[in-house]
Formats: sequence, C-alpha cells, structure tokens
Amino acid sequence: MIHTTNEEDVNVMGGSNLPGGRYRRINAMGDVRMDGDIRCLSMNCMGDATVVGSFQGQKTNVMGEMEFRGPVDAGILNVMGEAKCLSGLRARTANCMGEVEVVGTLNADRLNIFGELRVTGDCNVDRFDSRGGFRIDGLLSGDQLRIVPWHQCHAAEVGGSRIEVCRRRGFLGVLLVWDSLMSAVGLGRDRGLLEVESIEGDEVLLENTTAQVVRGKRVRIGTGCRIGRVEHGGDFASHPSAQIGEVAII
Amino acid sequence: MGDDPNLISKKELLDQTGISYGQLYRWKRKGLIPEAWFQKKSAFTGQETFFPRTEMLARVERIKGMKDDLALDDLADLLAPAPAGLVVGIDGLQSRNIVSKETLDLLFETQPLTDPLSFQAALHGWFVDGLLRNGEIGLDEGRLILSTLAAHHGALQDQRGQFLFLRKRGVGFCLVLAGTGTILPDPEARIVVQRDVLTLVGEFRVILSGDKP
Repeated sequence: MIHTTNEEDVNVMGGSNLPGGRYRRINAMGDVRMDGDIRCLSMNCMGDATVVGSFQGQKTNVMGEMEFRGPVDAGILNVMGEAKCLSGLRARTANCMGEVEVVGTLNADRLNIFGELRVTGDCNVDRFDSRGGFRIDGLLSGDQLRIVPWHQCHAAEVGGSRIEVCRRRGFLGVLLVWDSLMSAVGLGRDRGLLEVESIEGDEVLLENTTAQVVRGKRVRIGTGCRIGRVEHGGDFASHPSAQIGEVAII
Repeated sequence: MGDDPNLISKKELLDQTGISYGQLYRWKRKGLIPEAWFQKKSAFTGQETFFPRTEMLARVERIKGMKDDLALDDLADLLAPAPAGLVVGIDGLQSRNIVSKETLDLLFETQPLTDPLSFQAALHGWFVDGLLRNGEIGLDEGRLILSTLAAHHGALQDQRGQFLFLRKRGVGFCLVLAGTGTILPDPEARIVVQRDVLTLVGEFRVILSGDKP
C-alpha cells in the first residue's frame, strides 16, 4: 500500500494499492488497484489499473488496461489501450483509439472513435465522429453525427440535427480500386455498415446503412443502403442502387 | 394505441409546436424532458414514440418561452427534480402567498418539521394548498394527503410517479404511485386528483424561482 498526502504526484510501479483521495498526477505503470474515490488532475495508465470507487479527472490517458467500477467524470479521455467503465462515463472529449466499454450511459460533448466502442445504454453527445466500430444498445443522440463505418456499427436508434453516414473512401479512389480488384478474385473486404432500427434527424445523409425507418426533413439515401421506410419533409433524393421499401411525406 | 387522446406522437408534436428533431433530442440530452415521458408504442410504421399530451405540450411551450433568457443547462437545472439540499423558508412561502397559513399549520400537524422546510415538504404544502383553495378536498382530506405523501414520497426514484386522491362514497384515500402504470380502481371510486410528480416539481420550482406570482 502506498501512502501519500493529498494533492501530490504519484508514480506507482509494480503491483500496488493506492488509497482513494485527491492527487495532482497519477502515473500507474504496474498492476494497480485504487481503493475509494479518486480525484486527480491527470491520470496516465500504462499498466493494468482498477479504480474501485468513483473517478474524477481533468485529463486521463489509458495506454494499458483500466477498469472503472464507479462513475467516471473524465474531462479529456484518451484511450489507446482498453478501458471499461462499469457505472457510466461522462467526458468533455473522449477519444477512443483502442477499445472502450461502457456499462450504462455515455455522455460527452465530443466523442471520436477510431477503435471500438461498446455502450449498453444511451450515448449522448454534441458531436460524434466515428471511423471505427461501435455497438450502442440504446439511443445514439447528438447535434452533429458523422459516421464512416469502418467495421460493423450498430445502434438501436439514432437521433439528432445532422446525421451523416458515408462509406470510407481511399485516396484518389485507390482503396475503391483495390477493393474492386480483391472482390473480383473473391477476397473482398467488409466495407463497413451501420445497422440501426430507426434514424431521425433534420438532415439525414446515408450510405452503407441498413435501417427499418428513416425520418427527416431533408433525406438523402445513397449507395449501399437498405431502408424499410423513409418519411421525409418534402426534400428527398435517393441513389438508384439504394433499396427502399416505402417513401412517405410527413 | 395511437388513438389514445392523452398521448401525442412525436410527429404530431413536431408539427404542432414547430420544433425540430435536433431540438427535441437536444432537450432530451439536457434532461429538459423526463425520460419517462418517452413512451414506445407499436404503430403501423413500426415502433413510434409518444408523450403524455398535456404535460409535453406545456413543457415545450415553457422551454420555448424561457430558452431565450436562460442557457439550456440553467433551464435543465430549473426543470430538474429538486436537489436534496434545497430548503425553503416559511416566511417566503407565506408572504408570497405560495402556501397559506392554514395549510402550513396542517403540514406541521402531520410532520415533525423545522423552518426552513425541505423542498419536498414545501412541495407537499403547496400541492395540498392548491387543492384546498380549489375546493377539491376538505381539511381532513388535506391532512390525510400530507401524511401519505410524507410517508411515501421519499420512496420515489428520481421523483418519477404520481400522486392520486380517490373518493368512494364520501370516503377519501390517497395513493403514491411509483414509476409509471395505470391505476384501475374500484368502479365506484372516483379519482379526484391525479398529478405527475415530476410535473408538480417542475411547476413548483418555477413558482419558487419567481417566474410566476
């Protein structure tokens, strides 16, 4: 057990316990268990860390594996390794470059995904930018949502002001040509797809999306889409290759 | 289900109030609209979202009316369930005519209270005071309601539930319903009062903030 006075820097290496409290900077480089509630300005986890209580930090970098058992208020959260939040996550900006799993609700001003995200509840953000994969069991809600499905992406519902889903494109079409060539010889890659039950937004622009219902004032359905029903406010266009069941004006 | 006159569909709400999907989802995210009001029902187009009609229309109008003066976060704070630490002075309640002296006496009869009152006790006083002023209940019934609310209000999670007062053959009784659900009373019993707790909390907070006289 490492004993420390409050508001100081702590470096923890090897297998250790750290008591709950206020710290300035925590560097966890071994197998660290933090008991109680942790408050800190910054946290760097390069090993395998567990926070048993709640966690509040202004900047948190997870380069190893980290498990938060209590609620997390992370300020800026960068995950390049693996993070598990077992009682929800709140962050100003969350950058997921590795794997993040949230049990409960994820609330953030900005959420960027380059790796993989899993949320068992709702995901509430102002801006959402994904170039990775995600599975959200509840609602994905945001002002500006931009999704480039790199892997399989799933949400029960998506709602917001502007929702844009576009298939990934290579530089000067190189990726497209490469994929076409590989497909021709039977080695085609999964180009990524968003699967969702319903999408509702003021402006909805879709590619590579499967949805039961899409509702929006301005709706564009592009290539790679399979939509059961589209309800729009009078501004609608679709690509000839898109598969759409019904279209209705609301 | 879409024919229930007490519910309003999301499409109808947007149409009637002129708000956008973006605004509705933003208000939901900020907690301006209680989660429990979003009710999923089957419709011919699949699952649709419905809201309690009266409460939702009133809430949207209130938000539209106030959002020019307040930031959304402040508005969320105003409309959110009361924080546990909030207290209300008795002098203020009386001088601003929020709760009458008679109802305050009744409140002190039924609960061991000190000045200032907890938000919850003040809410109970204001609620019963309104019913007494409207002549919907008598003094004894007011006493009964205050005792029931004092005993059971604390069990509600996040203020989600309803206060009900029923009367059968002149005998009144009070209920606190936790969560959502339908009350199926004895056919001879009449529901005199049925109020959503979150809505009451929101209205009371607006009154305390001085927004209404």
